[in-house]
Amino acid sequence: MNNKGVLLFFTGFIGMLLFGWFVFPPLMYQSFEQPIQFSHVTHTDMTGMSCNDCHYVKSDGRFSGIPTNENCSMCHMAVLGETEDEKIFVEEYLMKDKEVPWFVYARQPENVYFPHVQHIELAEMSCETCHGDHGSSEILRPFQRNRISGYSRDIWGPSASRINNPPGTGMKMNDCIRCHEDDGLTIGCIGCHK
Amino acid sequence: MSKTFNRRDIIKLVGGGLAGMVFTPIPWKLLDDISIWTQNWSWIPVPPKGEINSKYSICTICTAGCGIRARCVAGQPVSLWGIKDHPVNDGALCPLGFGGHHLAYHPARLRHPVKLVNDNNTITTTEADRDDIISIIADTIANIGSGRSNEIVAALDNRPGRTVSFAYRKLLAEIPNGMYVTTGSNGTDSMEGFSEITGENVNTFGFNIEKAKTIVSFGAPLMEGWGIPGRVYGAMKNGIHDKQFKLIQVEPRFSHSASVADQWIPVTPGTEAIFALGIAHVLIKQNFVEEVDESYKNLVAEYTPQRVSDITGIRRELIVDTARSLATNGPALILCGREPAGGPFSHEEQIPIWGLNSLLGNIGPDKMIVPRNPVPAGKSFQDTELATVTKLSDVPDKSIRVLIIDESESGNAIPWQLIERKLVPDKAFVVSLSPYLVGMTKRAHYVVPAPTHLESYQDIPPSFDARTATYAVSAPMYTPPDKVTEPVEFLKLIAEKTGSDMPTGSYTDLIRERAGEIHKKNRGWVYNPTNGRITETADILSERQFWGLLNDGGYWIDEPVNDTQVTVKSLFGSVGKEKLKSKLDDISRPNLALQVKYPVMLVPFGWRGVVDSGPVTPLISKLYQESEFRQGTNRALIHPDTGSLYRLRKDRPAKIITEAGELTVRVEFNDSIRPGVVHVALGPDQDRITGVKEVKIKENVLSVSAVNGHGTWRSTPARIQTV
Repeated sequence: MNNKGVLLFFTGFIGMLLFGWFVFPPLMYQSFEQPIQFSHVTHTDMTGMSCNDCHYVKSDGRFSGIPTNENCSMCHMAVLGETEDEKIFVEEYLMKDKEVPWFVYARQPENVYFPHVQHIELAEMSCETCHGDHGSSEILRPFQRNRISGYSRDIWGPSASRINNPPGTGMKMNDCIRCHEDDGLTIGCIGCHK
Repeated sequence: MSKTFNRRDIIKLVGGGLAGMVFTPIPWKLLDDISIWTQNWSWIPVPPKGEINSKYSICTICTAGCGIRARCVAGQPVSLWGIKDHPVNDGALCPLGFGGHHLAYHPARLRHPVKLVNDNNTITTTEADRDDIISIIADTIANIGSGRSNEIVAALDNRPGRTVSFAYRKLLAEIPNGMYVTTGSNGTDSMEGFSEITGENVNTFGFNIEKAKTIVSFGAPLMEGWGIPGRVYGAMKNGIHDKQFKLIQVEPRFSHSASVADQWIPVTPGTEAIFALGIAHVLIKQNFVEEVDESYKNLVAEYTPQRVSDITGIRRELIVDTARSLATNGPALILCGREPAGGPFSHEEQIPIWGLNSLLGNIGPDKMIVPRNPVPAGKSFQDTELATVTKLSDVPDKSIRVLIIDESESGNAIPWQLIERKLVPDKAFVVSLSPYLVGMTKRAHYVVPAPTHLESYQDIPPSFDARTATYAVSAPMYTPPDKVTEPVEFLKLIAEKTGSDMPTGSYTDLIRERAGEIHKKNRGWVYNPTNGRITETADILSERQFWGLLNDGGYWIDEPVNDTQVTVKSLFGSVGKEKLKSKLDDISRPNLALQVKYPVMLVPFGWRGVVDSGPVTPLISKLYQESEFRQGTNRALIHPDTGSLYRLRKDRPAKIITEAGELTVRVEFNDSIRPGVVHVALGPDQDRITGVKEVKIKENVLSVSAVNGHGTWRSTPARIQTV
């Protein structure tokens, strides 16, 4: 290969590296704003609430997930504060008895069974282990949906390579397995894919 | 450097780009995303989003009746678990049961009646009209009824005792030459020897496994799904604490049960009955038994430990020790089992094995083999004529003109040869009532699909080993496809066409009616899985309340029978001393001429639930194809010495030749196998995932096994050679 050939080869090589690492990852995701904004930190710092005041394990062992209007209406019977989102929430959703169609960052495929109760109560894991610092967020960041798979970017994690994903990010099967292995736990396929 | 940009330059640029791509997330991310995308294609069933809750029911895939908890999303089950503390399975569930909710979407699922055309073992299907099928059956019945024929109209039921079983018997009693046929593959075929010595109906006896301190299992796959799965494991687990429980497995192959047992006794295949006589000899000679019939003593006297050792290949000291264990670490229970693929022992072989229980005084209320009440039939089937229960091997050869196969499976194998020889050659008409085009259904002429697991009400009578009568109902969780027909409705349509009398209620009504009869008995208890409580039947005030409990997965358990005395009629059974002795002599003296032609012994083996005609769930493929945790179809286990003798090589094909035909197997060497024996696996039907348009019938070990007139095929003389 002459000099020109080598140069072209490396141009293609470097070009693809740049494209693959910097251009391709954002192209894979489509951003959606949440229907209204919500501040976790307002609820935790100003009112002294904790995660499990809204996201709790029910008496039958099921996890409540994202709170419904029923939970929120206990405090938000009328508009509290002056934000536009609060007003929209109360007037457009609560008063019209319509649930907020949140985009769920952590939604897993239908073939996965994840028991919150075992992880929270039996393993005594904190919410941050999987959900990171979401509980101290001031705003809800845009939901990034994978254009092919349809799942949230939070499942793959922020790093395109999945190398050096910060703790509390990434919710793929390998993340579950790694954590189980770190704790010396073995689990078969049917542990999660029931 | 040239300034022109040519085709080669483009290739170099693209080549560099492709080489660079490997070091970016592009291929790996796309591969991952696309694989997830394929899980979400529109035609792949995805449960609707909705409220998550649990429903309790009973598994109907086999006869055990395990309690299941379905996790439902918007009312649809998305996962199944065993129910902890359930009287049957105590939280455990088999790989088939775990995937039971997938069965409605199985690739081999039939959604309308089909006609099958068999061209050289390739089956093609075309849609058929249910009414046409009924007309053919009705016309044939009319011909038989007009006196022109002695041919039989039969229904084959592998799971007798259900409400639909009574419906078959009712219709067959109404029509000329009707015959209700069972195979005993639900486990009762291994209790024929017990029936022989006591003269009792095996359906009214069960085992007191939980009370046993020693269990000697003659080939019963106790740890592999035998009877009510987990009972022996539970007894073993409880026995570990007081270090008293002992399980002895008498079986040629180092099966899973043998590996878990406290002691494995690897007898030569086919000599288990002789081993039982050796134990009887020691029990009698060492005065562990009080009263024995003199003629039985004389028979047993011939089977000294040394002679039995020579025949069975088991050391004489081990024979003596086993007998002493039975006598000193009692109560001891001796079980005679059916190999899921290899079938039952012949009834002559069973007689000495079950006879050991008689010698040890094991039979009777509160003993090891206990009488139990029958489960009452529904009102519609009481005080009316029902066809008698006939064993398949007792049906005359070439006599069945119309055969209706109920494809509710027992989990154990039945060779098609056994059925085929009963059919009128070239004229027989076989209709299968199966939800799937798998296994035996591929041999039918027409299939009218029935609802599958959790698609309709089904009732679950007691497993053959249950200590007391039990009853449960599996309530539907899915709606079956439009052209699926409940077998009882199919029978009613035949009755309508032939002018026969049949109960008018729906199948659900008939099951409910039976539940009502059980409630009226005012006996026993009902386990309620929703709260784990056990309620006395007498405290359940109304039939409606009782039915409600059964609908919610409740499990009715009868009281033990304490007032029935059981007498052993003859330790020779109805066979008689001379015939039994002659059979035992045949076992003791191998046919040398036959051994020259067929020097090895072919023995089928497999796991319950995958060797029958039923469909398999995705977990099963993990156990077979992917992990090879279990040997798949046509894997042959051979001792390395046998392999050397016949120049066989590991993982290479070999040909097995028997009187019935030839079979190509794949060789696997195993030190635990006896020299001269070839164990060939029967695994899941690989055609079960190829759809329903065109399927093939593939040969397996049952195709080349010698099926004798009594319906046994445990071992077959064979040759083996390289391909």
